[in-house]
Amino acid sequence: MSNDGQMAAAPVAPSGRLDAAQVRRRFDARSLPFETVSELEDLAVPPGQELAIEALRFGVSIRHPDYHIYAFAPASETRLGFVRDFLEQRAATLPPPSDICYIHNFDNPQAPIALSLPPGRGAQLRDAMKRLVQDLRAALPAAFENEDYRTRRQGIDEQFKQKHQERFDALQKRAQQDSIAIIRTPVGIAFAPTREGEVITPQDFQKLPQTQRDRITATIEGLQAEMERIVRQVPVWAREHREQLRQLNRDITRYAVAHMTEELRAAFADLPPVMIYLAAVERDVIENADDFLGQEQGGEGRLGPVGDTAAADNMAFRRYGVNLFVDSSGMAGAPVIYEDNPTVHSLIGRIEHVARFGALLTDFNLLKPGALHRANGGFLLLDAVKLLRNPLAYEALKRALRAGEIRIQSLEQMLSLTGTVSPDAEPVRLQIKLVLIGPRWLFHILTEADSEFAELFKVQVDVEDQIDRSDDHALLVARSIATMVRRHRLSPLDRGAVARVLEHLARQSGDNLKFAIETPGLVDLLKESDHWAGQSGEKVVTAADVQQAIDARQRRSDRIYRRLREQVRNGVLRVETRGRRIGQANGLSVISVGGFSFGHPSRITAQTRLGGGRVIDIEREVELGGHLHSKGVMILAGFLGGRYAKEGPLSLQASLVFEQSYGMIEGDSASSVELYALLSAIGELPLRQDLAVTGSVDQHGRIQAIGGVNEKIEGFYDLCAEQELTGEQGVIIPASNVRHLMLRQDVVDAVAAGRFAVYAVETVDEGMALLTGMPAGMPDADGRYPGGTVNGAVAARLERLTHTAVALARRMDSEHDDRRK
Amino acid sequence: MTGGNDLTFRRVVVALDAATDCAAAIEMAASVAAGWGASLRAMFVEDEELVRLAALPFAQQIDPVTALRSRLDAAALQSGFAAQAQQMRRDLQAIADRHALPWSFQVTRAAIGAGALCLAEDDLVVVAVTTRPIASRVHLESPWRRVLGQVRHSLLLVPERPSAAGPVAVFYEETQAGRRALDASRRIARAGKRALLVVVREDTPPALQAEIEASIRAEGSHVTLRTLSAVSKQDLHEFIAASHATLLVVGRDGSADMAITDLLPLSPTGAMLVL
Repeated sequence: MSNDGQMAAAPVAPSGRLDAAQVRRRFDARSLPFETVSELEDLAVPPGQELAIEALRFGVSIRHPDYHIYAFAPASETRLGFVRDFLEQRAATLPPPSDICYIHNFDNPQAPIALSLPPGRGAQLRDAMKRLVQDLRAALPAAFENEDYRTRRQGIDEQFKQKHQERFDALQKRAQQDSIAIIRTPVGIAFAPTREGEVITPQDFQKLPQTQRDRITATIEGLQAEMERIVRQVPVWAREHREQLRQLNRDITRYAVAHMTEELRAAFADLPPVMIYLAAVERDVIENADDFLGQEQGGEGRLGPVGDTAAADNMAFRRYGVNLFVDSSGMAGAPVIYEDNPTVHSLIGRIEHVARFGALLTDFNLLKPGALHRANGGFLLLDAVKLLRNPLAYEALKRALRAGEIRIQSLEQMLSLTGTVSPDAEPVRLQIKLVLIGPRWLFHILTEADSEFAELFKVQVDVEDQIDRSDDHALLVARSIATMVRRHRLSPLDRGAVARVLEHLARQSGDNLKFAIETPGLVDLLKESDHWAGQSGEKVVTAADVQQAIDARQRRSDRIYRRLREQVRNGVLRVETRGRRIGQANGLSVISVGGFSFGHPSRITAQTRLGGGRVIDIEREVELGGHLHSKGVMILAGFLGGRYAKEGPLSLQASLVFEQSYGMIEGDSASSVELYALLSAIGELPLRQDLAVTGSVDQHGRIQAIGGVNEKIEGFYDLCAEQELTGEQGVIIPASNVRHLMLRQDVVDAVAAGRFAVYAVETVDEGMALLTGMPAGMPDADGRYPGGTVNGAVAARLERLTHTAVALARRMDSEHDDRRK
Repeated sequence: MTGGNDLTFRRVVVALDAATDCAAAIEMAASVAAGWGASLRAMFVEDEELVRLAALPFAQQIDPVTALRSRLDAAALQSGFAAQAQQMRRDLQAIADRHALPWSFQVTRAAIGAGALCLAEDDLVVVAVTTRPIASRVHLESPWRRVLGQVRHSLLLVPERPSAAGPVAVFYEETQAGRRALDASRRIARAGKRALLVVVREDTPPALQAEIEASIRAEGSHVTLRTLSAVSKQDLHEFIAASHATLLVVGRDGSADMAITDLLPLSPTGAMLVL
């Protein structure tokens, strides 16, 4: 153990065989300076995020509106928590945002007004207006029931009626003087000459002297003309009458309203926009006093009927309502809002409707805020992937950010689908810092595909996903664990459990010299460990509980892994773990299913024959090989030519295949094993089948690192262990992968007991030596390889093939010459 | 005081024509008919005077809404009569059905007056006292008022805006007609759960006043007794206005100091039942 408490990695033995310490870099729990994580303080900032914090600090501090933030991270809870924690700390230092109220626009009812008020004043105004309406509904009818009002009203009515009556009476009197009767016809009024109280007959009329007939006709004409004038005058009188009544109502209402709004005006005297609004309310109440008299108006409001049945009686008064859109009362700082479902309407707000008599109706009271409203003056966090999954949400968000204001529009309005009348609410000024949390690839796609994105999101927060393995960092991770434990109310972990979690994080990082941080599954692992501790009746989580959680999680996910091993056991999938074969080696691949990755051995075989130096990749020929795999195979041809046929032709044709592989093969991690199979086939050298191989190779025969080394080793180990460990079995890995080894404990135990081996090799020669048991062989001064070595056998075979090829060529030339002769 | 004055109507005859506001008259007639178990008969009279007027060469009519003048000729008049009669028949049917009353509707051409109604002895005649408005709130006297002087039948005079609610007032005198009026008003008040206002002369014996009051109270009706020193048109009008009564019941052969026609109109909402 080193001074810093980490288990030092031992040097690789000359044979390449690794010892137990090398295949799992253990974390010594004794180096942790606590008994349980309860003793540790919370960690405000996750370890290793200094640069991310610096970027966040810059992003939230810079005033310019186009400096929004994109944080590279999957939107897992822990990462979100880290960014959110930072934003909440920052938000606490900022003033709370204004209340936003939507109120009726008495000049333009279709365009509700957005009123910005100091925090808490919105609710005050809403409640005060509610009380005012209630008071007016009681006070105005009382005022209009007053005897004085009735008398004045009757006076006006009487005056109006009198005016009519006088004109008609005068007309009637004039008619009577001339013996003319006014008669109501089915559709009008007629004048008839009478004699002795009865309408004169046409016969009697004709008997009258012409002068008298003319006089009667002229009299009736004059009366009709006067009647026309009176009838035409009636609407004018009616208008005057209505105006007089209205003025009376105004006078009565003005007195009552002024008295009742006095207190309201005093309470909001410091807010000029509210004073303007209250003045408009007063004017409207005075103009529409009838609405408060109930029975005369039947409850129809100026906005149209809106509301549920129970509220129908209040419809006329909805225009005096205050829609407290954003309520900041009681807030200590700026808001930090995370919108989990960023649809268009959950971002920019929506216009709700109510069904009434089969029609959908709305007004400003039904405007509902979105996340942008709620986060205005503070911070809004969104998951970038979810944002882009919601149609139009991204565009609506950008539109709001560009315009610096939030305009509520329905989808129909946005798409111009319908022309129904909806409130055109006054936009709310937008002052927000938006933080998108999303994967790195999405950031690059958006930057490439959308120029506006780059203009709006100028701050990148690159969240680290791993830190160097050290005692200091281990302690920081432990504090981070302690924070999560407290946040999720879990049982504390003892130091052994923390050490086991640290080892798990090291394996998750893919490097035993690193710790993965902010791993999405870490909180889940802690929760599951807590569960198993609870099942055991323990109040402290131990290493055994953590291990049980890891094992249980694997068991829940490894059905396909078990089925594949079963097929190998049954001989359906043929993988040999004993004996030797020419042109056949065990390769290792990693399969990932549903978040669970496992290693799976495959037989890789090679066949050779006389040919023109081509190595055929069968996978590629049938289009089951990816580009990287094909590249790896082509490198093999380069290696063969470079090593064995520098000065002459490579008279060989070889074919390579992953046996019993029915899916796509990608990656070059099998190129070394393909080369071993190929060399075995060429040199006719039997290879050990109890060894599996992984690693890529370059054209000079150097073995290079690959991914998933732990899973690959464990996959071959499991296969061998299910049969019987012979002590000879093992895996050959690139030496550069040794730092990535964090093998399962049972594999480590087998290595320690000599029942399983892990070999690290630098070159193809080292690998071939292990696989064949023969020395690789070095070339002499003439470049020739000695006999009894791998290279000697390969070179000799290639030389024989070349001779055969030359002989064949000569014979064909000779036969050709003979035919010409 | 009561008894021996049983008031029955076999038919309620509502008088209709082109000039009067008939819907209210039909509604009120149906209500009374239902209360007395009488049948309902409507007589739509095509006024001969109008027909004569239409035959005059200069006859014109003015639309009371638009003030437009148009020729009044026989054809226009006839179509107007027909349309109104049809509408009134529909109204009558609907209202009679609502009250489950037997009804009939007849159209005749005659001079407006009792002669056009073909009355039987125990008919109650219902007439409107005003025409349809010739302008806002301005009505002419209905020609049917002349029936008051033509027959001795019981008459219900329907105002512009009759009301089925509000107190019932009765002018009681110790005459047969007075007793009939009191009985009828008690019946109407009881059936409609309306308050009853009894107006008596100052010289009516107090014992009789008390008996009247007690007997009405015993029927469960709310009663107010008022004495008037002299029964004049003005006194009655003031009393009706102050009490908000919507129906005044009077006896035809009473010793009231004025003619029944002098009482008209009581008010836009005040109906009068003359017995």
